[in-house]
Amino acid sequence: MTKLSSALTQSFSVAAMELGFCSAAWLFAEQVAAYGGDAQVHAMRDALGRTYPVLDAVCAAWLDGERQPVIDTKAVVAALQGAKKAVIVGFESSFLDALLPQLHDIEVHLLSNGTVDEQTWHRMLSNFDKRVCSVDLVSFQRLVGSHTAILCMVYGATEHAVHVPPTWLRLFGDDVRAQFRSFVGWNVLRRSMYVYPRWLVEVPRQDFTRIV
Amino acid sequence: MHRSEAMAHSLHIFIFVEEGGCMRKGGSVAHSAMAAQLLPASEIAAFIDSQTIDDILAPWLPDVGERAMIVRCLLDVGPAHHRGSNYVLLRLLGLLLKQHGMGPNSQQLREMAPIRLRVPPTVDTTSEPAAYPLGIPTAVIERLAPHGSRAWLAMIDCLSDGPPQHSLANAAMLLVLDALLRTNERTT
Repeated sequence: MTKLSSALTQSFSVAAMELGFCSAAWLFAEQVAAYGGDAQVHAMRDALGRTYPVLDAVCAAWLDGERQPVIDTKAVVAALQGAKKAVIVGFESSFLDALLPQLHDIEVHLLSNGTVDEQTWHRMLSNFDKRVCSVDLVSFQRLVGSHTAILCMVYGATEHAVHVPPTWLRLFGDDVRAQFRSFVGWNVLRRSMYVYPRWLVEVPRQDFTRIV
Repeated sequence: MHRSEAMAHSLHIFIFVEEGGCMRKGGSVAHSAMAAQLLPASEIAAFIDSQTIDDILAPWLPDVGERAMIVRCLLDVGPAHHRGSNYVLLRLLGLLLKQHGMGPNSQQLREMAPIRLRVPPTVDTTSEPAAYPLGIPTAVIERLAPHGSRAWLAMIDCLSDGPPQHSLANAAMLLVLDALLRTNERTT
């Protein structure tokens, strides 16, 4: 069996930063499987899984026979019904590519996460052809009101807890809970992580008015 | 008494009470009684049924998302005793509403003083009026002071100021009180 390149860790790191953990993980699982079948997906999981727990979970899904992520945009659109604006926390390119064309009348703002430099962030946003605006943790409160919803990428949900990007902790306080229409969690990883959920944080499910 | 000595003293009392198995042994009566009065916050959360308050507000706030936001501010934000108090008072007023079969009238919905969202003063919110979808009904205040008078303005200022669990509860209760007063006048 051909050995996986040691540069895979670095290339996944770059891809995850610009595409999102889940989107990058599905891309890598697909490409590595095309290159070397399930055995190589297994090897990638073994080598990188502990460092990138979302990749670990996606590889597990792949090895269980799943071949693409579940991207349920209808449920998200329904959860955002009545909102005129949405602030999105967390970045997942595949999911946003599918969702944005469905949000016809909703003004979309992406919360910058601080993990990439400003130039990279604006290059990432340019892929959406001015469909989205950028906000940060200082300016997002410009959007307060009963017609603005917060949508956060969620990586696995149990009855009591969910895993979210750390930015959520910086945004979500008691003051903010009273300032927006709804707090929707979009579960982009439909399974539990098997390893320590590095890079993510566990928060109570009750933080959200709805998980889809 | 030095702070560390006071702490050690309190700790001693606590241990003694625990060992004695009786709250009034060992500690001062005031200290023990105070501790005994405070119920766990979970007992407050247990009696709050958000849906009943959602139902009461539905005629005034037909938008489900706006209503959910207001109910969250009333029952799920701020100190536990405020959440519980809001629930009890609104439930009782809701019972009165039900008994009299009343709902909103057009004047109530037209004449509301905005309750501003509490955002930092440096944040520019010009893109959308930063107000809650429920305001203070102003007509009912005219029963206490002439419209536009300093007293009328001051009353509205009192009612709309403060954290949302206060101001929005004031608004909700005033809507119901206004409806009750109007009905009472019609029947007498």
